Amino acid sequence: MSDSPFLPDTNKQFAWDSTSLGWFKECPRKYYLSMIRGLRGRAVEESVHLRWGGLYHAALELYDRLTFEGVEREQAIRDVVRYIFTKTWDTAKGVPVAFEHNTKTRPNLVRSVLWYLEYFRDDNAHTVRLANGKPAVELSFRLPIDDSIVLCGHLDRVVHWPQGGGHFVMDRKTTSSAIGSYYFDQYKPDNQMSLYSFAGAAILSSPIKGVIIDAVQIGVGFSRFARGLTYRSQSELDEWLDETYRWIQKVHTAVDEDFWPANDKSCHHYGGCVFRKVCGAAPQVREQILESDYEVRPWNPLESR
Amino acid sequence: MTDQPLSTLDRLYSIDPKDLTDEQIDQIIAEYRQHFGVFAADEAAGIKPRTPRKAKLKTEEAKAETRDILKDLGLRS
Repeated sequence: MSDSPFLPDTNKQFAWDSTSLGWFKECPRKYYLSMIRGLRGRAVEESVHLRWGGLYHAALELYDRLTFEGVEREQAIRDVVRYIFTKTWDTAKGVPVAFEHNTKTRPNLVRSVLWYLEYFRDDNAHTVRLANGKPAVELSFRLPIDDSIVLCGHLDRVVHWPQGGGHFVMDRKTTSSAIGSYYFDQYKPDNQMSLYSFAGAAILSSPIKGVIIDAVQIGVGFSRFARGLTYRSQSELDEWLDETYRWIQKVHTAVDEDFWPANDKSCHHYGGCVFRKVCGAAPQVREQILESDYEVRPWNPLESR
Repeated sequence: MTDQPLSTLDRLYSIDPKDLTDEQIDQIIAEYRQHFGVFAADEAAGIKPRTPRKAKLKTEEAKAETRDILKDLGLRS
């Protein structure tokens, strides 16, 4: 059981990740419903993507760990394939796990991981060794930045990349969309990438250039990869941190006033807010909709992966 | 032309992972490497990936289903 991300006996959040901060930046009401009330849609779709994406990340993390420990590449790949097959086998029924999705399938998972390792076969980004001797892979971090704020999150990997001239956080993304320059443009400015850069520098105690984004488009019959970079200078990170303090102050003011206005310019972004139908309904019926179409699954930035 | 793998793989996918031999794992890796090579060559030549027949059939089925629903609702003749 993780600790609460809220100060005792209050709704004032002290442990912040990019997701919860992003909710408030998008829309105070979305933050209130998602974070303070812990509500999520009942959609099955969401869990398929989470599960499939989690396995994709875990498989590549295993490869990173094995090769860091000196396991030879071909053996590491064998171990990774066996891992995926095992994790996607329903032992009770004796059949493969059915993901019930046209692209997020078991074969496409195997293909995407193996193709990633082929596409980046000659990549010279190597995993950083932490001060404790462990690999900088799948790092859950908690960084206290003052007495009442802790920044939290998870880094897929921290690497030294000679081709890029220094240290980078590496983040792996999956998408169903085509990956062009506009895809990577969305990451600057971007709350998550700024936090990752800030955290990477803090963990290494040395400057970070930014974030390498290894994106994969998952199609029915193919997985297409691209690498994008998003840089963060020290002055940009200083500005981001100053603004983060201000955003958190605004949240605490909203808690004091218990006032959560909807930002109706955000409702339709990224395919539509999960609470769009709530805010689109008359105020007197919203609680009924929340009751019937949503469930309580609290989000906790303090949870480690 | 890229295509969805692969009858050999279909068979290997149905095996309980604890019974998979190292040779079978190597076979899976080799199949996907070959498939990747074909895809990469197609990409370089500007050939778009082909939607597998099964997926096309599913799309057609979904369209037919939608047409039937619209008919039932009287929204389409």
